[in-house]
Amino acid sequence: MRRVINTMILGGVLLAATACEKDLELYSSEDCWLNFSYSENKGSLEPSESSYSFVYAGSDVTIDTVWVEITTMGFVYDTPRAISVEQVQVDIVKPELPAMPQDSTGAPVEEIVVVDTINAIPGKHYVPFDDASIAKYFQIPAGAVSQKVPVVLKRDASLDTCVAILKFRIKENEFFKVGYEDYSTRQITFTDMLAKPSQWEYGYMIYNYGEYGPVKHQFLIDQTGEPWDDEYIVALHDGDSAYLEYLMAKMQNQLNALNAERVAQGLDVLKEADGTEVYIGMVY
Amino acid sequence: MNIKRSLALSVMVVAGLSMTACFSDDSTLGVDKIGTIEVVTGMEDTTYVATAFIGDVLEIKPEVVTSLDESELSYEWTLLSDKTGTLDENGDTIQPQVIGNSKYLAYTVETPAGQYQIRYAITVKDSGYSLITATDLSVVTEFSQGFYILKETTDGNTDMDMYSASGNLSQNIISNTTGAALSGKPYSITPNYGQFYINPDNDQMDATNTMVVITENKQMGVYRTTDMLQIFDQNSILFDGAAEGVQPYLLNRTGWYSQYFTSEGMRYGMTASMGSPTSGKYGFVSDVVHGSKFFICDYINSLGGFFIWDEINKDILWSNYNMYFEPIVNSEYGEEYSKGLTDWECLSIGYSAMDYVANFILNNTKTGARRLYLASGGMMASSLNALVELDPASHMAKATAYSTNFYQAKYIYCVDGGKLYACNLNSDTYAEIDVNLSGVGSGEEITYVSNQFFQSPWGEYSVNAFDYLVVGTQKGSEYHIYMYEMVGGIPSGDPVIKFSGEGKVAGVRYINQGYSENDLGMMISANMYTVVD
Repeated sequence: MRRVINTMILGGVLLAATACEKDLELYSSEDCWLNFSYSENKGSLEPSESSYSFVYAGSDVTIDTVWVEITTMGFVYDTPRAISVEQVQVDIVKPELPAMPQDSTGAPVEEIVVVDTINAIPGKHYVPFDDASIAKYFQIPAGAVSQKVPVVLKRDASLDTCVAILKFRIKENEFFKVGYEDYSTRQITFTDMLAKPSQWEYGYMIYNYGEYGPVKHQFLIDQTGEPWDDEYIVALHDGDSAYLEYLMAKMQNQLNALNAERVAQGLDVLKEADGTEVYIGMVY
Repeated sequence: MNIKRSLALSVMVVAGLSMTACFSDDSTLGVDKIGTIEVVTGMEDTTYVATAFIGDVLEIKPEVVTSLDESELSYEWTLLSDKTGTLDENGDTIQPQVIGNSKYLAYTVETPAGQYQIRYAITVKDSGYSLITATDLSVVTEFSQGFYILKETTDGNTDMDMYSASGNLSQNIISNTTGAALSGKPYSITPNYGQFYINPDNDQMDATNTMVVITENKQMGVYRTTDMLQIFDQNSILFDGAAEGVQPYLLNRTGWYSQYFTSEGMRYGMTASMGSPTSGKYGFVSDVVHGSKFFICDYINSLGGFFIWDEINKDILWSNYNMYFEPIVNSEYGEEYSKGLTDWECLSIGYSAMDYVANFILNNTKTGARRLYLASGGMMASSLNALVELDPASHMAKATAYSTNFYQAKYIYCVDGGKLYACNLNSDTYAEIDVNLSGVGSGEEITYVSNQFFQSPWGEYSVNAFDYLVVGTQKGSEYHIYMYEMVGGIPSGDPVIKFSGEGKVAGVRYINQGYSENDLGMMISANMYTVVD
């Protein structure tokens, strides 16, 4: 019993000691770090990734800019500090080609369109990050803790038939170190074809419309006259949930009607280039 | 040393040491100026009711007991709604509205109808010490609470009168607010609590209480009961508009779902119990159940099951809370007695909370024979309790109007030959008794009966609760309404409410704005009114 009492007293003294406040040391580190802010892309399951298509921009648009926010950690300075960003090459694995659909004579029924995915080429697909024309944006202004930097995408003719991936990361320089690993890279996938909207994976689209496919995407555009890009999808999601339900049912009905029409004409039902049947509906 | 004593001593020492650790109180709060403040009467346990926009002044004079001089105190009255603290359309937080800075409140009520909380803060000026008490305020309009009367106009169309909580009768509301009555004879009137819609006042999706009026000429009007604004018709309630020739039957809600039954079938959406407000519109037909105005909730569970007559397929159906439909059968009477009853029409549906049994009265359109179905529901399945071939000589077999007593007695009231009778469901022979009414004017013929009430089976909303037998009579082109309190299902004394208006009464429904659409128990209660009587 004495041992118990002694233990309690010792525990109590320690408890009392922890109640004492201790002055915290003043923050004194001179190091500063940079991170990408993903808040502007919060709808995506992969907030570090986004997509863009010149299809939505209009035929006269030759360049377009995606703005990316970068935030600082560490002391604020009263002088501008340069930001360094560099491209990262992505290992791209070529998908296996599906079997070519053939009719009874062995002739191909439909053409399979193979879309190349490549690493974006500086100068050709985007304005290099160190280009003098955009250098003024690549700095944290005096007294600021964040800055939006431009990623200037170029509508190169090659984007008509390929998808470019631009992956880039914070690069350490004399002012900043690289911040959190998870917040140090961004990736923009862009093309001049229909591209999977970043928001497709977010909530109701993947749940109610299934996996993305360009043929499905074009079908939705044709039926509604809407682009079904990120902006439209977010507006749908934030709007009337009764309309969401209705629209999905309407697209299902119209897809069924189109397929019936195609079958009546001796065609196959609507399929993606890889042979996957276009399906709209709840995915469990 | 005694072990227990040393243990207790040790604990005390440690506790004392902990409390003294590195803490000094240097606060300068005016402890000498707190005094005592107590609000004795006027606030808590009181619900105030005020009518908006008619100059109604809400006065509250709480009795405040304090040791401080009145000059040392300041007062603030604030008004809070369920929107307070949320964001408005500009993204700004909606703040409480200050409605007074005096000891006593005198507030001219100019705020939309709804439920509010009034907070009364008494503050000691020197110290900032405050005492805050609160009370409830129900702001009504002339339309937001009372009895609505569905009627056939003298030219054979449909309009609505309203007998308000303040005892005023407003006549021909539809034609006065929209320019014309709805075409066709009356089909049904239904209160719809928590109807979703886009509020034109702020273009936001919102919920409101409505009265739904449907005519036999395929017209529907959905009216916001705060101001009688028509928020939907049979076209605008559908994203694609109404197809030609479609007869609306019922716009209603149960526990989780709102349903819109038409001759095309059933559409459904969510209710506030399941999520945020929507536009309130419906898309495609989701079930071949067509429904009709003959609908009643199954109160044996509070989740939203119901009984319904399918006017197109001629089926007697029960649905569980999740809209799983099934015909009502038992081992003796199979589906042929509840499905595809092509020679039959439904005359009435009712429900008794005494034994949780629903009833249907059907009429054979070829022979004139009438049947009484008694059925029970539940969580997952239903059953047919009895199928009674009504004695052709009985009043029940000849009646022109029916209604079922919900709380007090297992009676089905019926009107035969201008007189009122009650069929006793406790009787093996379904014996009928004469129901004598006091105060009915001479020369008036009884044409209508209904049991209207506002009280929950689960005891909520006891304030303003009532349980009336409503009788409608006709004399010439004028209808008369008499509302009686009851003892054991029998009218007691003279009517407590009576009024008259132009036209023929086709339905009486009560709506109470104090009901919250999210209150599951009351929600069922508030929707308990059979649509047929």
